[in-house]
Amino acid sequence: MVLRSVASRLALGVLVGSAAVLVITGGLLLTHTRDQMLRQTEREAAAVADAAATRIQGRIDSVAKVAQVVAGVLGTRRDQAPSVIHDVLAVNPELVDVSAAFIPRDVNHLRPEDAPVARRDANGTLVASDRLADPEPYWSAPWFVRGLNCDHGCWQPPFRSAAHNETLIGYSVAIPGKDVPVIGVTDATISLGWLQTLLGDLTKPDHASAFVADANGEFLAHDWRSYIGTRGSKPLLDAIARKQNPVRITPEDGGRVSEPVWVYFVPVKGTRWVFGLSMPERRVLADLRRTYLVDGLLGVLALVGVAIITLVITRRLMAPLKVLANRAEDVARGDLDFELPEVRRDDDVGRLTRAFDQMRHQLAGHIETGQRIARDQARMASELEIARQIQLALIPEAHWLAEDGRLEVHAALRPASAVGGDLYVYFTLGARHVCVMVGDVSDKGIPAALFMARTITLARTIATHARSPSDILGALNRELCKGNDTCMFVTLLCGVIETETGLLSLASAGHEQPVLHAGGSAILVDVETGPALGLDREARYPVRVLSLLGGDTLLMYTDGVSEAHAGNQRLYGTHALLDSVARIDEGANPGTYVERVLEDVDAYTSGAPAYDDIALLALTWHDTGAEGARIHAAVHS
Amino acid sequence: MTLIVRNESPTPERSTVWLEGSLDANSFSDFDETMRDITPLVDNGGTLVLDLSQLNYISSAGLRSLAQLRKQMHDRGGRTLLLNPQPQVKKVFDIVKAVPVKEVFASIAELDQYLDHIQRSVTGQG
Repeated sequence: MVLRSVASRLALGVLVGSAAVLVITGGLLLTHTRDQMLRQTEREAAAVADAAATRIQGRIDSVAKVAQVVAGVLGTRRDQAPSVIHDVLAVNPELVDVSAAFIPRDVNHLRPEDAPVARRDANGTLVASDRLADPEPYWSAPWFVRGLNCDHGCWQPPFRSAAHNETLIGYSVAIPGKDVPVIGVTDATISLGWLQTLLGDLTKPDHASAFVADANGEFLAHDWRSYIGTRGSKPLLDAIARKQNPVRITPEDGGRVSEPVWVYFVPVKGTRWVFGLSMPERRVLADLRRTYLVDGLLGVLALVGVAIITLVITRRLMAPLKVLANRAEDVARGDLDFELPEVRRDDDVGRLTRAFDQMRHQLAGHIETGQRIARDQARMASELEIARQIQLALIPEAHWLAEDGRLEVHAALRPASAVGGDLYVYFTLGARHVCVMVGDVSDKGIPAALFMARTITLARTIATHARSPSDILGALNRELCKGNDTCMFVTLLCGVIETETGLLSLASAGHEQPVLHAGGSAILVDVETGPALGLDREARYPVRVLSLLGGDTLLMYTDGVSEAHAGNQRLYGTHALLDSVARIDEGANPGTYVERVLEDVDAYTSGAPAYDDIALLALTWHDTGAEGARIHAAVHS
Repeated sequence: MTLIVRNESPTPERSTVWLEGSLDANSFSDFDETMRDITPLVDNGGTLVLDLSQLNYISSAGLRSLAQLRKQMHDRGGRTLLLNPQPQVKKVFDIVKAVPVKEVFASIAELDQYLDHIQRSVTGQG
């Protein structure tokens, strides 16, 4: 697609825009020039028409003069009429005939002198005759009656002469009498052939045709000879009547023309004639068309030139942008390794190119950083997974049943993330004691996990020779205080049970109270706590002693259970925990306790990810044969 | 919930810090950083009072921060005293005992009395 390039679109836009401007201004110019040419032609036509009208006027004025002179002479010389008109005709070669007609004194005795006629025949010979032989009595003929009323002369309608084979026209003047105003009519006739000749001799614009029309609108003379004697078209006659000069006549309007014409006309003074000049519009505007065509071609040429220049300049300016567009597509595909053209310009394109280059380098840097971080994260995730496995290896099996079957332990550890700070551990102390611990290191994550590992390892070592939970916690505390500048600490509940008697000693280092399920009810065992391990070297830990009966279960847990919650939910709480334990059938094995409590906690948080690590240990004493009262005692070590 | 820490030091001997909100795994590092700027303002052997009346929650991570703060002050011969904790926070102190119970006071009067007693025993007037 050519138009995908900005340069082409710009060039096309300039071309189209300029063309629109050219068409509009061209249209206005055409209208203006057309009006001017029409006015110019009108002025030329008016000049021609005026000149023609003046010449026609001069010619007919001379005829009128002759007729008036003859009328004046004959007023007193009626009897000399034949010789007078003969002489007048002889000295006025343009006249075809001269006649006089008097009102007859006695219609029954007409004389040749009453209506003499001097006529020039086809050979130029003068012939004298009279009107006595006319088929119609001359004194009642229309021309005679009309002539009697023309004191100052008037033109008769033209008529066709068979003898001369041409159109003639007569000028009549009434002959004044001595006693009466009018005694007859004198008439001088000329051929309209001269009028036709005059039209042909006129200096007219090319393609113009001239005509003379009389008062009735009939053409007396016309450059188109076939029109002579016919009436002008209705639009022409209407325009003459309204003096609408010039007038445009078209074939559609009913004009007797083959194409639109402009008609300019001038009245001929002394007559009711009109001289007209008709010019085809096509010819009038032929120059205009030619000029306009040339101008239009030049305009189009200029437009194409401008478009080409725009295209070339824009292409040159936009060339670096095209490269940038291609490179940007490379970037989009992830390919950042390419060369950009050297741009020294300080314009927008130069700035864009340099910025693009910097952006590419920065992007490459970011991608590399991102990849490195992703690699580090993957490595850390794998390290964390290994750490998790190591941490899980530190704690004993989830289930343990003493060899004699009296003591059963079940535990669970669920770190909130890969590794955690909660712990449980149980181990035998000699042949007759078992030690159980549940602890919670402050905070979570890797530091907590490391501290948890340290705690478990130390606990296993230290407890070997001790028999009291108080001693175990005390020794463990002193070890953990060493070098503990970060003040990490662990809360720990430690129990030591005599496997033969079910006697359970408990000591707590800041840990949650355990739950005892005995005799069908679940209660919190109130163990006075000492400080959490790792903070106070001098700390002491009181011991609480319980005597377990067969079927009793002790549940040790961390705050991951008692403070379980999701979002802004209230904490799970020890009451809920007690309810959960109370619902468990007495005599159930410790695995059931662990399973049910975890189920209830998960149900409470709707399975949302845990905020904190969870450690849970259930210990069940199975000695059904044992009898005796529960011992409640606190022994201070 | 976030933690807001405000500080006022009328004298180099005694500076009071107000904690508001929740001191837990999300906020303890900010708290540690803030306190790193505040503790140097207290003289060696001086007293840092943490007013906990507006502290709504404290987690084990928060306890560790307080314990660490107390240890740092202790190393410089100073004291860190906790003032007026809310019941749920007080309960945590009571169970975990991360800070000695005798360094937690219910009111400023109690705290002043304690400090007065300490000073008198030091000068031998008690």
